[in-house]
Formats: sequence, C-alpha cells, structure tokens
Amino acid sequence: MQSHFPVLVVVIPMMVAPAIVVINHKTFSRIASLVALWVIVAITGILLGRTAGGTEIHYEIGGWKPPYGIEYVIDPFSAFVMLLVTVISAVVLTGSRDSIRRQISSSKITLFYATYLLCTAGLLGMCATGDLFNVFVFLEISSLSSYALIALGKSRRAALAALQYLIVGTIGATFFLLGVGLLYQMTGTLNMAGLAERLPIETGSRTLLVAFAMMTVGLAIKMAVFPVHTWLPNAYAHAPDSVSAFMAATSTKVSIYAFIRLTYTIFSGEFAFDIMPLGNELIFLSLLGIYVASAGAIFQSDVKRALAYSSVAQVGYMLMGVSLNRVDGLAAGISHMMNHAVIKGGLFLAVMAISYRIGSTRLVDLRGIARTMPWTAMAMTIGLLGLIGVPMTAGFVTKWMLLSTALDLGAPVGAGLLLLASLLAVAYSWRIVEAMYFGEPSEKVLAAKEAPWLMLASTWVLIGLVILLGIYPLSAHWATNAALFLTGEGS
Amino acid sequence: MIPGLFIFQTLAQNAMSIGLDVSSITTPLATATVPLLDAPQVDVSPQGYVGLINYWVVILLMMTGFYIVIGQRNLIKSIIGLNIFQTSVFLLYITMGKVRGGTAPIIQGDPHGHDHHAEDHHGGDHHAAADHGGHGHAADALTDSAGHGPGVDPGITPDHEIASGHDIASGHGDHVESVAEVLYSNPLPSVLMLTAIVVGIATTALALSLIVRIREGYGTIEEDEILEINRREDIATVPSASTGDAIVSTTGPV
Repeated sequence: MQSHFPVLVVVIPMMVAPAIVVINHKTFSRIASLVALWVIVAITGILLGRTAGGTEIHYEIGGWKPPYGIEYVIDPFSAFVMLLVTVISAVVLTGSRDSIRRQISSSKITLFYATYLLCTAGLLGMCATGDLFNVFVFLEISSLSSYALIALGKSRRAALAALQYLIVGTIGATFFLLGVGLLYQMTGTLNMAGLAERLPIETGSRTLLVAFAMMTVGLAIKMAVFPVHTWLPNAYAHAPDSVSAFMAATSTKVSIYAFIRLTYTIFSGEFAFDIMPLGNELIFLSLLGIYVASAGAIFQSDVKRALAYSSVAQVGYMLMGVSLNRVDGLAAGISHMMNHAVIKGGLFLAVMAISYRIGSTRLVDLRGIARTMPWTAMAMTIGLLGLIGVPMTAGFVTKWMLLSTALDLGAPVGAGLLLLASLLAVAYSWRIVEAMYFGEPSEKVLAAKEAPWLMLASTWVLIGLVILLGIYPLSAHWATNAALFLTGEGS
Repeated sequence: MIPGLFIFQTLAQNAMSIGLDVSSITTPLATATVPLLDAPQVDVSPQGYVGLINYWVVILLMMTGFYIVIGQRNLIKSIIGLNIFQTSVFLLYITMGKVRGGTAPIIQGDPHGHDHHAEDHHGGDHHAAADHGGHGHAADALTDSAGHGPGVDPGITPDHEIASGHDIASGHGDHVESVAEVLYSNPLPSVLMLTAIVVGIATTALALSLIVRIREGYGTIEEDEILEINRREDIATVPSASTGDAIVSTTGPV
C-alpha cells in the first residue's frame, strides 16, 4: 500500500470525481470530496517526510519500466508543491460550504465537486509525473476543469472570462506540446530523466533553443507572466469565490513548478540562462510585471480584481527568484510559491466571507465592514500585510531572501527596485484596509453578521500559517532543500 | 509568416539531421534516434524542401490557425482557428513517427521469425522488408539501401544518408538477427496524438458550450459587440447581477 502512495495522490481524486457524478447526491459529494482531499493531504505529508533527505521515490505505472512506461517521480521539490496544492485545495473546499450553496445553482453542485477534484488531480499529476507528455495531459486536465469552474460564476462575464482563458490557455498548451514533440524527435524518449541525459545541451542547437522557447512561452501563459497575463484578472474576478480562492493559490504555482522542472531538471541552469539568454529577459519581465500589475491593482474598484492583479505581480517575484540562476535565488522563488499561496488563499477566503454576507466584492460596498465582521477584516489585514512583506509574515521571509540574493549578486539597483515595488503593494493594500476600517458603513454592511464559523476557521487556518511561516520559516527550509536538490548541490 | 519560416527551417534541419525518421519498433527506443546536431549536410536544394512537404503543411496550418485565432472577432471562428492550430501539431507528431518504407506497427506471425507463414504474408508487401533465419539482409527495394550490407537500417535513403544513420544501424545490428526484420513505423507519436485529439475535442466542446452561454447572456457572439456591452455596463456602474435582460440582440452570424 505504502509503495503506491505516489500514484494514489493522483488516482484518489480522479476516481472519486466520476463516483460523485454517478451517485449524484449533494451531501455525499461534499463528504466524499473532503475525505478524498484530506486523505491525500496526509499522503503528501508522508511523501514530503520521506523525500526530506533528498531521496527520490520512483513509481512505475503498471510495472512498465521507464523508457517504455510512464514513471512518477517524487523528490523534495515535487513533494513540496504537492503538499501546497493539497493543503490549499482541502482547506478551501472545507471552508467554502456555504458559499458554494449560495453561488452554485443546486443542480450543478455535484458537478462542481467533481470538477474541483479533477482540477486538483490534474495539478497534482503535473507535479508527480516524470514523463513530459504526461505533464501536457495533466496540464490539460487541470486547465479544462478550471475553465469549467470559472464558467460556473453567476454573471455572464464569467463565461466570457472562461472562454478567453480557454483560447489563450489552449494556445499555451499547444506550444508546450510542440516543444515536447521537438524534444522527442531529438532523443526518442519522453522520460524527463532520459531527456536530461540525452539532450545535447552544450551544443545549443537551434532545435533545442526553439523547443525550449516554445515550452517556455506555453508555460508563461499558464504562469500569467506579465505580457501574457491578461486572462488572469478576468478569470479570478468572475469565477465563484471558492474557485478564485483555490485557483489563485494553486494553479499558477504548478505552472511555475513545471517551468522550474523544465529549466533545472531537463535542461539545465547553464542552458537556460547562459546559452539561452533567458535570465535577463525574465528578470526584466518580472520587474515590469511587478510594477505594472501592482499599479493596476491600485486602480481597481473590485477587491477580487485588485487581488488578481496583485497575483500577477507576485508571480513576478517568484519568477525573478527562479531566473537568478543561483541556489539562494531559486530557494526564494520556490518558498514564495508556498508563502504566496497561503497568503492569497487566506485573502480570497476572507473576500469570500465578505461576499457571502453582503453579496458584493466592490470596494465601495466594503466600507466599514470591520465594524460588523471584525475577524474577517482582521484576517484580511494580516493577509495584506503579508503581501506587502511586513516582518513576522510569510511575505517578509521571501522578500528578505530575494533582497539578500540581489545584494549578494552585487545588484543594489535591483534590490532597490524590489523595495520600491513594495510601496505599490502598500498603496493597494491600504485602499482596502482604509475602506474596511474607516469607511462609512452602508445599511447592508451594518446588517451583516460575522462570517459562518467554518468559513472563518478556514480563513484563519491560512492566515495563521502566514504568521507561522513568517516566524518559523518552514517553507524557506523546504524550499532550500528543494533548490539544493534541483541544482545538485545538496548531495 | 516570418516566425513560421523560422520554425520551418528548424524543423527541416532537425528532420534532416536525424535522417527524417529512423526509429522503428525493431529497435529499442533507447537507441532509436541518435541526433546529429551539427547537421553538416543539410539539403537546401529545392528537392530537399519539397521532400519535407509535411513540414510545409504543418507550418501553413499552424500559421493559418494562429492568425484566425488572433484576427477573427467572431468567437466560433476563433475556436475553429484554434482547432486548425492544434491539428498542425498532430500532423507534426505523426510525420515524425513515420519510417520510410515502414508498415503499420502490428506484429504479424511469430515475432521470433520461425514461422514461415510470416514470410508468405510479406511476400507481396512492398512496404516491408522481411528477413528470416539469418539470410543476410533483405532490404526494401524502395529504399535502395542493400549496398550497405547487413545491419543497415533500410529506413535511410541515400538522400538523407548521414553518419547518425550508420550509428543507429550498427548499434542494434546483432539485435536484428534474432527478430524478424519487418520495418515498422514508430507507433508512439500516433498514440500520443490520439490523446491530444481527445483533449482537443474536449476543448472544442467546452468552448462551444461556453459560446452558447455567452450568446444567451449577451445576444451576440461578436467579440467587439460583447466588449462594447461590457464597457457600457461599466460606465453605468449598474451591478451586473441581472443577466440576459435589456440587451437587444444585435445581428451576428451564428
């Protein structure tokens, strides 16, 4: 049983999803999904523990040996991202019971749970698999289910946002597939370890460059890197609240995971950043994204949309860490994946609570909400402090890591720009905090009560993690392990 | 078309440098395609490019589809463009799986070559070379490579005869002796594309159903008009809770 853990993480949600649809009972679907998700949280926890020392767990699907069959590989990095995905997925689903009942029409609730599980399975599959084509398949599983989840939003704009995301996302996935094809043509294998062995990296041939460029562009769309991020704000703003919370915390992170895998495991840091001058471009785009998206967030009238823009900016921080091509930079990028997931998950859950009580997420409707929903407003404030990177929050840890790396590299200008960008985060955060605490409440707000306890508890679980990870930087520790493993300096 | 030409050149170089497509099921995947990256003998003559007609079609489809996705404002037409774009990738994969002179990868008769029915069966087959009981090497007449002696993979034509071809062939020369020598196309890319086609169908179905919902909500499937409606709605700052009312169905081809 224990030897099957790597595949069970993917198989359990994937099997429960159709069962839910067949049985088609609302209470059953909720209980079954929650059980499935918390079981895989436990399994990924065990897997992370087992890989802690830098060991890899290999699992051959159906007993077929790697060059022919598909292999799952769990290493410290994939276990780290899988834990992130499962925890967020489970916590968000636990907390959003009432919101789902309110926002999803009752005939679609079972389908919602099934799609949610499929999306989780797809994201986990992308992390677990050691086969490049399999990454594409799981990418599409998670993408297709997220298009469907976004379209479940009540407003007609949700369908439009989902379609826009679908078109852009499919172009991205097809580019990725094209790159996979070129690599297969060169090596005759799809296994990541096999590819890493056989690709003639040092020659820097044109095929390699084109394949890598195509896969990078494809994943960049999914990561919502600055110039190709346009699908994200609409998608997050119009999706149901529970879906926004889940996706904002996980989906871009897993694409970044795939990009890091591609860069550091299949190709190599030298190829991506020396032979292919990707480093400068990515750093430039990250910085530009941080500034443009943060500035965009300041001018949004809707909280969900402002947080979505801030997500684009935060992806910039992660990508910047990755593209510094150094162990400490990579560790900063990876640890920001978890820190940001926790922060954004908590923030979107708090927004969900507010939207559940007052039925709106517009900034003007939020005024004075701290009077009637003090705990939610406080959670929101702590989350926003985390986004800014105030000490004692998770956001501080990664910004500190990034800054010290930048200073270490002798790039004080870059470090200064990073610090300056935090001011923009202060600006958009302050607008929300000001509205919540100092605005004149409307009658609707005065009539609101504190959020349902389950919603509040889940919000505070994630917000508690923001503080915990800020004081005791566990995510930084795991991320450093993963970075050492990826660059081969750990063993 | 400039990016298209660039991609095409890459594909062409790549294809030529590995001898078009030299993997077959009789060779273990591990040694199937050894890339030769310097590609010293890239054929830039007109014939060389004509021979790569599949890659031309791939690029043509890819750019056509991509242009339709970007250029068309009608949502259904964009989705059709997306389909064409995906189809080009299917064709690319299937092309790389084809082995010149190779037959469908279905094992016929006894794979160990002791079954003489297999020989009969292949007697009239122009696409496959059969070899039994260690009689040297029966190369396919079409590929005209008998001169290379035992162990040379008949999948390589003189046009694309490059060093890597010899490497591949000699790499599994002894392996060939024990296995009935039928040249198969590589089945893996086709199998991968079956998966990708399924994904493509799912995407199209989902996209079309989303368009149905958009049409119900907005009364049009022209992107310009939809965005215009959204803009007017934003200016009016009316909460968008009410859907499907007040918008007069503007004309749009459905």
